[in-house]
Amino acid sequence: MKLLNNKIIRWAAFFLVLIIAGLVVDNNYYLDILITVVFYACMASAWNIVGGYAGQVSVGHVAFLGLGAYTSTILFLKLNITPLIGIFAGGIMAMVLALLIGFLTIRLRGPFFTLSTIAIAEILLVLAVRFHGLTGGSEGLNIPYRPSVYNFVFKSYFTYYMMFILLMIAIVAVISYINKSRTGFYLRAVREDETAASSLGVDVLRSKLTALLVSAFFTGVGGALYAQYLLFIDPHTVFTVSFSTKVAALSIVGGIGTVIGPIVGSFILTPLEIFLRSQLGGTYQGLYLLIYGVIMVSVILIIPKGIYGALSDAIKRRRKQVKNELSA
Amino acid sequence: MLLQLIISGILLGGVYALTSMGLSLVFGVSKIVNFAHGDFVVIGMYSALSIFYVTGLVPYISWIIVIPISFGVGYLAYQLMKRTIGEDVNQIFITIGLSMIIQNLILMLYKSDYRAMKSLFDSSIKLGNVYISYESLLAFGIAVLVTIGFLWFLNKTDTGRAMRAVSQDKSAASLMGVKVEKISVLAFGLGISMAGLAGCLLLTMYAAYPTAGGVYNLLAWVIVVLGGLGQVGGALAAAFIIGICETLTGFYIGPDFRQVVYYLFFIAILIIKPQGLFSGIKLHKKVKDEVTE
Repeated sequence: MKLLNNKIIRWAAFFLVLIIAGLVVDNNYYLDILITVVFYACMASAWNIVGGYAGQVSVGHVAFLGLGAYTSTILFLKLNITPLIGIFAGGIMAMVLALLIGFLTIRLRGPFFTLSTIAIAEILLVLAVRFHGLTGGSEGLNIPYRPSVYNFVFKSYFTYYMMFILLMIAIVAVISYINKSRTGFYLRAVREDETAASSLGVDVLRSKLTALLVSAFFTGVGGALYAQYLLFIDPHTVFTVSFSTKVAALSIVGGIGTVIGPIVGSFILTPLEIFLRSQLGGTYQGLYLLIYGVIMVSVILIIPKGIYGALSDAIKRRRKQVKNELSA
Repeated sequence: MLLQLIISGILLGGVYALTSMGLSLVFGVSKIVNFAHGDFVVIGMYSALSIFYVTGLVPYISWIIVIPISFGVGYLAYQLMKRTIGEDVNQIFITIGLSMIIQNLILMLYKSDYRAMKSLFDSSIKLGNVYISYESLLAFGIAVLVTIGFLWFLNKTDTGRAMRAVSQDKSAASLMGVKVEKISVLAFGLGISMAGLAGCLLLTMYAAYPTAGGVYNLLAWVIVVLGGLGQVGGALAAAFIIGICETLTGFYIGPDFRQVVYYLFFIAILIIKPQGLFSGIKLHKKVKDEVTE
């Protein structure tokens, strides 16, 4: 049991279980569910860096996802550059956009920052539809199914699954690093009280911008990977604002501002969504999103810290109680 | 043609003004960051539509019924949200959650089809080279009437004064004997009623569909920020600007670019002049502080 107290070993165990789960379910349908769950966990964790830690609520994160997806796909289709490079190019393009957004809007207070991120995502959606020659317009872009490492297209779903797991490991590692670093403390200070933090010498804008850049990079990389997995992108799937609200909902339900929260959120809500959609999708269109909304509103009202936050609080309280009893 | 576009823009702007004044009221007095405002507009649209299906009453009459319905919806929504007042982040999320609920409830009840009202009039007014449809003129007329009534209410009645007091300083208003909680609910209900009314009138010009709320939501925010937070007069002028802007870009650049132009406008305003376009005359320092830190 002592081994489990080490954080790194706990995470390693967690990912090992995930990989084994992927190996055990030798069935593309279940693997697809696992991939979707891990993908959303990645996106929610990436969102959480800026939405949870920095307290800057972005509802336009889909802009980074779409930009990443389009960058790698266009590089591959038009210039035949391998998505292996394209994926990172996608992440970098997302960072460039984040830099632009950051310079323009990071000064804005809460709701106004949120509104401008929505506006930017909507603008990109219209542009992606409009610039037909480059993006294929509303019809979208197809990546031909020719499995090879250079094309970054694989026969086995498990390979894709491993890609998303790798992304998640990278995100968790970076968040854990940030958490312990100076920037992490700055971010928490900024989230709690911006004025106080700034008066104590915290560079507020720089901390927020760092968080936004890191978050955008991972979202862009995730978008590019997702495009390689779906082999198809169109503006209305990779630039729709409802994707961002969903990702934000996962973090909130799981527990905002924690490393584990968004992952917990995705592991609970994504399978629920897939189940509801397959069971009720035909008869009641939109019911699963309705339930999403209800869950989101109830979590905010009842357990504002999210499921993980509430659980860890309860465990802490219990431990304290036990300790008190023992000492008494 | 230009004159035609500008006049259509002004007529459209009248209806937009209603939406944004409602949002301004909700934001200024009730202190709720409402990201579901557009969805309340859509509720107005679908209420008018349902009334038409059941009783055959057209929106020009049924708005009288839509207003109390919207007020009721607003009252319920306020009860849900009042616990999050003062917590920006939670408020954004709870209204986004509410927006998801409203959109998908409508989607379940009415399916995703675009639903439009059949035009009641088969001719339009011709003034020189300019054509004005009866629909937009009537909608504009009702919007203007309600706006004037609202401004009278805000400036001349005790309740209106109390609302302005709460919007300026909650605790001071409370010390002066204003029942802040009551005024908050009332302002929220009124704001949503105006959104509902705007939806009712928009239905005579545009088709309703479940996710239309997203567009109207940003639109209302764009107008409120453009006009200056909490400034009703500014919101009015901004609504006309946005209306004209929309018809002009819709014609000269393409209908899909209508939103892009005012989103760009919005971001530019937030960066360059967060106090709003018309704040030069009497600049409220407090308002600027509210937008940037």
